[in-house]
Amino acid sequence: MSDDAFADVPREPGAAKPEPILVADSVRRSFGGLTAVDVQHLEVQRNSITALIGPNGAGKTTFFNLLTGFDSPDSGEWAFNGTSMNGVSPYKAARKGMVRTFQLTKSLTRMSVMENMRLGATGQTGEKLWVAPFKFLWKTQEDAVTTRAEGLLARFKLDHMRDEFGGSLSGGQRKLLEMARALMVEPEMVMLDEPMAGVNPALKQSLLEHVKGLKDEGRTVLFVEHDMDMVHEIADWVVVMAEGQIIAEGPPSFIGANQAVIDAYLGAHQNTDLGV
Amino acid sequence: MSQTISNGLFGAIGVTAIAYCLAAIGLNVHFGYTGLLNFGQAGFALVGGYAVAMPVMNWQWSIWATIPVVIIASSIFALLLGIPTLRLRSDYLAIVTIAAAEILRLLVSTPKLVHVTGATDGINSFTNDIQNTIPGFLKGKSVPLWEKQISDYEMWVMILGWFLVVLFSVGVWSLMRSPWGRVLRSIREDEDAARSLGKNVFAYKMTSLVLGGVIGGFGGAILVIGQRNASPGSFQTQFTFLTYAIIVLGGVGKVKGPIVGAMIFWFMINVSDNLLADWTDGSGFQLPTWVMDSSNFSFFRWILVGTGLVLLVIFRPQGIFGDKREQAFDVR
Amino acid sequence: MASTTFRKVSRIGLAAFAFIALFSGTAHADEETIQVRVQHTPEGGKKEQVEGVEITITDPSGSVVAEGVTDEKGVARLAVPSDGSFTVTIDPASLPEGLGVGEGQESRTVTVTAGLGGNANFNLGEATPKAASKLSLLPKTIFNGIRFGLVIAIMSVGLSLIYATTGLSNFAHGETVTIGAVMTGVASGWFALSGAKGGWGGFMQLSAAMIIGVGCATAFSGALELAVWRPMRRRGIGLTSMMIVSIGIAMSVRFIIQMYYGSQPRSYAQFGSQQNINFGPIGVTPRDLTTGIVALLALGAVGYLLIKTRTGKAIRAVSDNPDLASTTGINTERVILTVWLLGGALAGLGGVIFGLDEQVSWNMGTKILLLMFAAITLGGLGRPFGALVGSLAVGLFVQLWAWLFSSYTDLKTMGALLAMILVLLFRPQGILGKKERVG
Repeated sequence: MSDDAFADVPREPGAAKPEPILVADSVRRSFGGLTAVDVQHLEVQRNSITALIGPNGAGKTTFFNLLTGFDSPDSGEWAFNGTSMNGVSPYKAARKGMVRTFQLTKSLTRMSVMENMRLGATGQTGEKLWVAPFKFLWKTQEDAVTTRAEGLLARFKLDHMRDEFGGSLSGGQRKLLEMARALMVEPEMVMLDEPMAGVNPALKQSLLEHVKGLKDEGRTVLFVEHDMDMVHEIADWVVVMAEGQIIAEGPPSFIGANQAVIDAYLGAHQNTDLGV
Repeated sequence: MSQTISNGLFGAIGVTAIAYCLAAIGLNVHFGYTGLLNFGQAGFALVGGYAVAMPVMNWQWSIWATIPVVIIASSIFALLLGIPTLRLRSDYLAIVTIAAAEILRLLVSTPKLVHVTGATDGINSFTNDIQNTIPGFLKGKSVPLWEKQISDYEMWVMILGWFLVVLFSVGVWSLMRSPWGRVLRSIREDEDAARSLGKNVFAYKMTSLVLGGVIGGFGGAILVIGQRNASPGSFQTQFTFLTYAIIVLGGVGKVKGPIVGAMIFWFMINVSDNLLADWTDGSGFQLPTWVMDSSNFSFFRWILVGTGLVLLVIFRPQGIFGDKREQAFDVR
Repeated sequence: MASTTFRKVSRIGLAAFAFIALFSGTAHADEETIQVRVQHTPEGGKKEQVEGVEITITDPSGSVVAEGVTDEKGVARLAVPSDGSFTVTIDPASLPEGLGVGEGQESRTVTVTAGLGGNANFNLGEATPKAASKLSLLPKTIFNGIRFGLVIAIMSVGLSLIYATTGLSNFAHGETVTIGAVMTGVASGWFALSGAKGGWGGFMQLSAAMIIGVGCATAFSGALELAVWRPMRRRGIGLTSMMIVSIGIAMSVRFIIQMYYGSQPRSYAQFGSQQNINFGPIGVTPRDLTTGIVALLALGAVGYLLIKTRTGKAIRAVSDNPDLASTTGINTERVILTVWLLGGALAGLGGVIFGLDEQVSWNMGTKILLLMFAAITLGGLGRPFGALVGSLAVGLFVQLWAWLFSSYTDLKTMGALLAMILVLLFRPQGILGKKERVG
């Protein structure tokens, strides 16, 4: 379904998509004199896997922060599922269905893996102050959440670590935990910031399958990556950023040969920072 | 010697220990479970104490009617503190809370308000209702406890106080093992992670501040009732620092921590006071006067506390009940 | 009148001594001696000693047992024949123009304890309503505010640098200030024992004592870095723990000082009271002038250090980004030690000046610590120049409050703290602070 969705989309920055879940316009963010993000127009196709790539310092993470409310832009607008997200605080953005992971993982180090996972579940009545002291009111729901968490942990091969503290996990395991935890929220759009960094190669393959599985579940995935193999393997569409702007869009095969992209990475201009 | 131990034991369960225990339970909610650097717990205690004393002195209320006043006043103080600071960095929270507590203390000390607050001498005769409600089995009796004789009034206040300790401890325990408590702990770990999972971090922090503040308020209430005096001198910044020492000692983020911490802390302070008094009073074993004499031994307890706190934090930050894996107060 | 001539003469005499008007006169209350002190705190200013007041001491039967006059320190030490109860009376006619004592307040009953003597203090007030308006006091208030702000600045710049380079909110900074003042007091006491305390001798003694005081504060600060903070950093112990440790250290040091220095505030042995030099509408004592200039010079030196020297640039680099700084070859550990030493020296200097302004007491540093934190928060956490701005703001605020609300002077600290909170409400990063960047 979605592969065809891109059939008629022009291969240009800011190209319109048939059923966009996220539309961003004129989003700008500067720090001091440096313009970190300057996105004219971006549309992310619903129920697709879109990759956001670009050299370090291109503004990808800043853009993520802006879209999810962790940072405020100088100007610009964006809408998720038609609802404007300007000035929406991060927790509300998450509740609306935009869940992101972090480049520097935020495992809750002094809490167990299972507790990390349970935290992600939404709509927990036990999280309300007046309900919380009375265990019988939230026990059933908690058990259901635990079962679901166990399932996810098994999928990510973390179930044997369920009682370990987040702080004792390796870097790659933390990445997995963060992704699994994000899925507990059952988000409509999953925004992964470098999900493969530090994950061992044996695990990468199964992770790729998980991400593809998200698409089958009807979710949309937007991920930042430097691992071009991953991009080629699973991305339906690629957006390339450099120096805060989108310089190219297209399917993976197109992007690999695109001169603007090659220049951005390899530094045809001396003062562009190199990529990976 | 047994007199010393008995004084120590009494100190461990007496009114001061109870008051600090309640303050510590509250601070544990703030700092132990939520990671809030509240350095104004003395302010909450002050609010609670004066919330009891002022209505009785100024408007002749029944002391029992001041219970809701303690809750409301502490909550208001928490809101006033929280609204500006919970959105700031934690470093700011520490300084603002200390400043706020000092502002309250200065306000209550000023001679200008002496008719309302009693200024530096404080408020004194507000405890009649407590006196009058001493239950029959205690009334008029002097209760022997180890080698001390305790008045019926004091015994009654201790009973009330320990009741509050149990009540609030159970409450905190039940909250912290629930999903609500889990969100608090996640905020302590990493606020942004909690936000990214859809949790309204500001609301949780504020609720935590109010809860811990109200419990701290009751600590102040017990203190003034037990001492039969509400004055600013009881609520200096030192109060907050001692409360921190107590929760570190007992174990940060553990329900039993504040209770055991307060008891052991005041036991040790009382024992040390007694011993030092004994060793400087001119008879029996005496310390050389250049080390300590009868005029300055009472300051030594604070040197003990300060040094003890340093050693605890460096060598056993999890205190008595803490988990070694959870020991660091902040994640590196 | 006699008092005008008296003022003219003393002004000339003291002006001749200029900065070095540090007189001798340690006093110990002897057995069977009553010490009488007469002082006066003008609005918006600091305590002044009143000289030339005639004192009469009578025994319970009404006969006069001693008479005397207060000296330049506002003190008269009069011998009485035995211990017991005596009445000390000041003669209102001998009071300087404009000062008076309350109704029935000119006599006081004093109990003399054998071997310990007795004490009587008289605090004078305004005898007649001031003809001069409040407005005429404004220049002096502003000057005092700036001077006070400069003194706070010396101490808080150190605190701010420590915070900027290590992230630590150092609660022991107040005690570093106290150590500076106390060690100066102790050293000045030793020197005083060796002889002449007046004139040049006294000046040299006091200067040497001050150097010792600042040195001790510096050593204390450096020792803490080497013995406590550096090992803690190496072990990966976090900042919150370090802050709590600094609280513990502060508590221990404070009470060690109280135990061995005592609870009584004291002045330096070579201290003496002084008369004002007038600059137009501003009357200022030579001491205040000197300390103000010293503070200014010290701050100037720090500013120069930070901006022009390599060390200063290294400090600023580490404050900004320690990891990046170390990759450029800067020895961050050495920079941090330098900052602690510098911070200690500045705190010590501040303490020394404070000991001149108001007396030396065991908790003087603690009292000022909150104002220091208020100053650096107001100026912007982590910005040393912000510390200067914040300190001036706090100093001015405190003095202006006392001037404006003369009946609420005890609340001036409260006012400063409230102002800090209000500013943070509207400008959370402080005056010079940079807005936080997320991610």
